[in-house]
Amino acid sequence: MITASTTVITDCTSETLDERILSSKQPVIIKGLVKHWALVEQGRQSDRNAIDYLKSHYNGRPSVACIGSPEIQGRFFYSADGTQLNYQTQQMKIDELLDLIQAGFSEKNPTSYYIASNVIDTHFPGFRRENDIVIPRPEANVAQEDLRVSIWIGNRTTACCHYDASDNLACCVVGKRRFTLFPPDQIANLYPGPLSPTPGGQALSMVDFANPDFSKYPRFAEAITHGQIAELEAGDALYLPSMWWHQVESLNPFNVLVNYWWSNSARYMGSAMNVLYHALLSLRDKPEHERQAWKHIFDYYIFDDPEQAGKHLPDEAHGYLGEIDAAKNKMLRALLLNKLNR
Amino acid sequence: MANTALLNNVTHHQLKVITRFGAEFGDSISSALVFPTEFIELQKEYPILFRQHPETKKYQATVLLGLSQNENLFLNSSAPSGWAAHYIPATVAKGPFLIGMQHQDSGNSNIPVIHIDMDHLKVNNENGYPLFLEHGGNSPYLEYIANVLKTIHQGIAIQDAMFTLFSELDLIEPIDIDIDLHNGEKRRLLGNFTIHEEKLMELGGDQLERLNKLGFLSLAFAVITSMTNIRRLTDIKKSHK
Repeated sequence: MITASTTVITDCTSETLDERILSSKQPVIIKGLVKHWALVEQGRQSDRNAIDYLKSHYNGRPSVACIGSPEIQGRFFYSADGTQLNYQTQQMKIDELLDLIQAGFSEKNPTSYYIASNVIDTHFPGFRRENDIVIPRPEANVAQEDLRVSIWIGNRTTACCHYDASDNLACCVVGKRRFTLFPPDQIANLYPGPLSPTPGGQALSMVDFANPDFSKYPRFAEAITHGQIAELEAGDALYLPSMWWHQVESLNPFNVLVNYWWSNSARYMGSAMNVLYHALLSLRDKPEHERQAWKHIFDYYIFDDPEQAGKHLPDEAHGYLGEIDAAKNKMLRALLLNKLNR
Repeated sequence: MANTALLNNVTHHQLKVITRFGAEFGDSISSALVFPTEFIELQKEYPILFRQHPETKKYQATVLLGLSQNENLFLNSSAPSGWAAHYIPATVAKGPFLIGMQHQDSGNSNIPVIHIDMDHLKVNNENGYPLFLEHGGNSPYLEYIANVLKTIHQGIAIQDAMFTLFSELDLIEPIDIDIDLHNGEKRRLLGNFTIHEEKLMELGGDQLERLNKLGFLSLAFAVITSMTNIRRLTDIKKSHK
């Protein structure tokens, strides 16, 4: 299996995330980055203390919980035929979920409970006053994507391997977590599953990392040589650049993660996944020679030097090849809406 | 129970909706629910009246379309749409469509979505306007319906605040409407409320500013002005004889 481990930095525990880490573009464990957080200290006393601390900050608003029968062993995944999911979701109060998790502490193989990616401020107002870190963001002329700060609460669970389109600082606050990481170029070796339905909006690798079926997924052997493992204890944080594939195992009977998601891209852009869906509709099934030609065209306009396409033209002739300002953003959107609505 | 479905461009690709109005489609109604978001348009055509729910005591706006039960004086087969007016109340114009709320899996919010009553007399596969374009895009008619439903949705959101302020300022008064049908026949319409014009005139500057800043002052005047349309109803009725 994977032998490489993620780089660990041990001398960084300030209130602001170090910019050098952000510019690394490689996953980095920052040991003890949030060890002084109030919830980390409570969890160090006992799970019970951590649960009481969470309840004391909870405003009673219902959330959406993922509930998996003992048979799935905490692995939230597709159903056997890939058309559904192997667990239920249910609106419930978070304090009730905490009670259910606590009631399962004595069981060997309890029902799996998971609240994933719940925005903290909507349900735990005041929590971030005692548990927070500043993510430095560059100055920008146009509105950038907002920072999203979420809490993840559960017992022993596995979030199967997927990527997210935002940079991530994942702080292990209570319990233990193991991240299995792969760079973006490993997509084909990870055998992504259906685009929909998905547990969190992202396609999951079909490979069961605990028991890989190499006859079905032979290229996973290649992925292994590019993978790395990041083990986090309470108080540790992982900086995970956007687009890296990651499986996340929560290893203790009670685990809490707080994560920060941000993307230094203009808000008007929206999800690049829209481009992929559009390409599935309008590009993938064009005649082969056209499809291959479009690859050159996309390289020229999009993937190579972004300024290349306008460089040899007078400024006033740049149009959409130049900078996309507020007006051009609106014009392009209108153009697409009109052309798509047919 | 209505046979409603969440509208989508796959299942409902062939669907058409008849946009004509007529007695044969169940349009013989003597009043229709209306919303503050359309008062300015409605005042040019219909008398706007308030009704009070007998139990909740909440007010709801209506327009008068006829002077006796099941009489809709605006139905007119020689008009292009079958309805002789420039503006048609949103609850009528929406035809077989309804607003539904759909829970978003990513959070605790609900977003409005369009439902359709498949058993509605105007829904079919042959006649009327298509809902979707050839490749599944929204037809201009569906875009129009989305706007009509938005008028209702936004109207529901503001009407309680409007009636609360009208009540607080004591602007709502009961009105019995006496109608002389020129042929000696008389009608009296009971149980309606309107805006008390004198009380509106007596409001102080601060009160007027409050009404105006919330956008309700022009609506109060629209209700008052709309009463002249009762004359229009009697004139249409007379011309039908």
